Amino acid sequence: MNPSVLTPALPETVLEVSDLQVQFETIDGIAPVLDGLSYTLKSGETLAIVGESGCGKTIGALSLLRLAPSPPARITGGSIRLSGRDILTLTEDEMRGIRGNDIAMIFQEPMTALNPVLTIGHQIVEPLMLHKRLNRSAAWERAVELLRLVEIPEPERRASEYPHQLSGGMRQRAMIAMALACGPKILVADEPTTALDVTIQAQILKLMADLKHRVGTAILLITHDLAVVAQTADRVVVMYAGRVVEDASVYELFENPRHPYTRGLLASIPKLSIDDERQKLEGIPGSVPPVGGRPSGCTFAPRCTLARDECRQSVPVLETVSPTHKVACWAVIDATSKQEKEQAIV
Amino acid sequence: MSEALSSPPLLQVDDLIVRYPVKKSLFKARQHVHAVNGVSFHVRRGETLALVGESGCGKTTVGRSIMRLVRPSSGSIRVDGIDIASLSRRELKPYRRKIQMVFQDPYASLNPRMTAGQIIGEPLGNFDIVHGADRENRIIALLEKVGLSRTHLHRYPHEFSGGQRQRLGIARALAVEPSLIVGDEPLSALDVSVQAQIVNLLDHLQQEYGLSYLFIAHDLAVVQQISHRVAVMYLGRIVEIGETADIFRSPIHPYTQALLAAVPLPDPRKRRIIEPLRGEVPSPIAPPSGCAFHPRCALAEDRCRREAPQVQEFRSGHFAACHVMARNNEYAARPSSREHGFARSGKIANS
Repeated sequence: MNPSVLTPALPETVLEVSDLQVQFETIDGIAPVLDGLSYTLKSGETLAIVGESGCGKTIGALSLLRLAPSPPARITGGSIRLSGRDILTLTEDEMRGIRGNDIAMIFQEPMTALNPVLTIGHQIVEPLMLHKRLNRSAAWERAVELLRLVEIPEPERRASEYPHQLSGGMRQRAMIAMALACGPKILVADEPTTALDVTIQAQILKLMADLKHRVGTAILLITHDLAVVAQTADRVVVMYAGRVVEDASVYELFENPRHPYTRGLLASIPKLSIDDERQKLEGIPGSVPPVGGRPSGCTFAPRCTLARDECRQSVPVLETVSPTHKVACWAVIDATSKQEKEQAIV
Repeated sequence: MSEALSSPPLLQVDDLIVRYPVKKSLFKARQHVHAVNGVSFHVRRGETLALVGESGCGKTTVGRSIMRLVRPSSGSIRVDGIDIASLSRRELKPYRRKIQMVFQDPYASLNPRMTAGQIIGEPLGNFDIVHGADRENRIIALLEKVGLSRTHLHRYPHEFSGGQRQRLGIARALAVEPSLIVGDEPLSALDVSVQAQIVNLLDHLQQEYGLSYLFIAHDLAVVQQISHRVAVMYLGRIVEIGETADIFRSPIHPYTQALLAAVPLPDPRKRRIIEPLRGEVPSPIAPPSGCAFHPRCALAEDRCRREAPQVQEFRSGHFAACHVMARNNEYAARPSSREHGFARSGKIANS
C-alpha cells in the first residue's frame, strides 16, 4: 500500500512538537525524561513513535494532552503546536476544549481506561454532549452509530452494557469509538494492541487502517513493536532515552536504518519466515539506562559499538541525511559529510 | 534429533484434563471450566517444545500442571517414566529438582528482600546440593553462566534491570541442575533488544547442558526462532503439533493458518492488513459442540458442529485435528510404520 495514496493532496501540518523538555522532579532530585523531542504530524498521516520502555514515548504522548502526571512530570521547555497554536500556553479550561475534541487518545489497557460503573454508551455520549452540544438522545443515537462504525455487533444492545460485559477486543473497539466521537484531528494510540491476542490485534489494526481512510484522522502510534510499525505507519520516529535518534519514512527506516540503535533494534526482532531460515538474533548489549541515570553525551554511547570520545562528550543533533530521513549520530554524520566532501572533490 | 527419537521422552503427557469449578449457584448445577481438555504431547531430551495459543487456550494451565502447581483432574504426566500427576507433596520433591520454571514477570517472581546470592542459593539449600565455601563458588559460577558476575552477589532485585532479573530467574532455575525448564512467557515482558539476549542465552544453555524446554508463548515469531517443535492449542485442546518448520511452512489446521496469517511482519513492503479470523475465543465454561473452533472456521461443515475431530498424522511427526483437512490426508491412509508417542495417545477426550 503506498502511503501517499492515503494522504490528501496537500497535507497540512496538524501537530508540531519542537524541542519539548520534560523532567521528573522527585525528592531524589531532578531528572530529564524528554530532552528535546521534536517531530511533526501531517493530516492523514500515521506517525509511529517507537522505543523501548523508559525512552519517554508515553510521557511525550501524555504531554500532548497535558496529562503527564504532575508531580513528578513538569514540562520545562519547547512547544506543542496544534494547527499553529501552542497548547502549552493555554489555560486549563481551553485545554479541556481540546482533549477528546481535537486530540483523542486510546490506551493499552481498555479495562483501566474505561469507567467500570458507566455503560459504554454513556461514556461515548459524554464527550458528544460536552464538545458537540448534542442533546442526550441525539448523542445516544450517534454513540450507537459509532459502535457500528467500529464493527461491534448489536451496537444498540452493547451501548447499554458495562465494560466488564465486553471482551478485550470489544473494549478496545469501544474505546476507539469513544476517541473518534468528536471527529478529532489527531488520534493518539498508546500501544493499542499490546494487550491483545494476535488474531484480535490483526482485527484492531485492520479497523484502524479502515477508519483512517474513512475518517481521515492523523494517527500518532506509540509502540515498541516494530512489526506493527512496519504494517501501519507512514513515518517513524525512533526514541532512545529521552531523545529522537532517527526520523524517517517507514521504507527508509526498515530498508536503510542509519542509527546504530535502530539497526540493533531491527537485528533483535525475530522475523517470521516461511523459508525456515533461522537467523541468529543479535540483540544490543547492556540495557536502557534508567531516567536519572542517563549518561552525558549521546545516551546510546555505552551500548554502541561505534562510540568514541566525541559521543560521550557532546549530544549529537538530528541531522538531515535525505529529504525524508534524519539521524542523530556523530558517526553517521561524519560518514555522510566525508562522503559529500569526496564527491565535491571529484 | 534422530538419535533422540529412539530414547523415551523426558516428559510424556497423556490425556491431561484440568477442570476448575466455577462458583456454585443456588439453582444451577455446578459448572466447570475445562481449562485443559485432553492434551497429550511429549518433550524429548535436549528439545524445545513450544506451546502456543491465545489467552484462555489453557497453555499456562498445562505448564502449571507439569510443575504440579495445579492438580490435574485426570490424565498422566510422566517424567522419566514416573507418573507425577497424582503424587503427594512429599513424593513430588525429587521430581521438583528435575523440572524448574522461569516466569513471565521477573519483577514479580523474585523476592525483593533477598539478594541475588540468596535467591540462587535457596534451591541449593532446599535440595542439599552444596554447602559451605563450595556454595558461594557454585552461586558465582551460576551467575557467570547467565551473564552476570560476582559483583551482583549482594544486590537486591530492584537494583537489576528487567533483562538482568530474567537472567537471575534462569540462574535460580539452573541451580538444581534440572532436565526440563518450563518457561511461561519468559520473554514477553522484556524489551526487544534484551529479549534477543535472553533467547541467545537460553539457546546456549540448552546446548551446554542438553536441557529440554517447554516454552509457553503467544509470540509466533519468537517461537519459530527458539523451538524444535510446536503445539498449537485452542480452547483446552491441541489442534496441531509438529516440527517447527512443518508448522510454519505448511500449517494444516485452519486455526494455525489464521494464527500465522495474523502475525504482523516487520517489513513495510509486505503489508497485509487483514482480518484472519472473525470473532473471539468462546468461553471455556460452555465450549462449542463438536470441534471447538467451528464457530470461527471458514471451512466448518455439519460434522464439525456435531463431532470433535480426532488427532491424526498428516506427515511424519505432524499431527492435526480437523475433519475437513483429514479428508485429503493421504498419509493417514498409509499403514502406520512407526509407533509414535503422540499417535499412541492422540485421542481427544469427549468429556
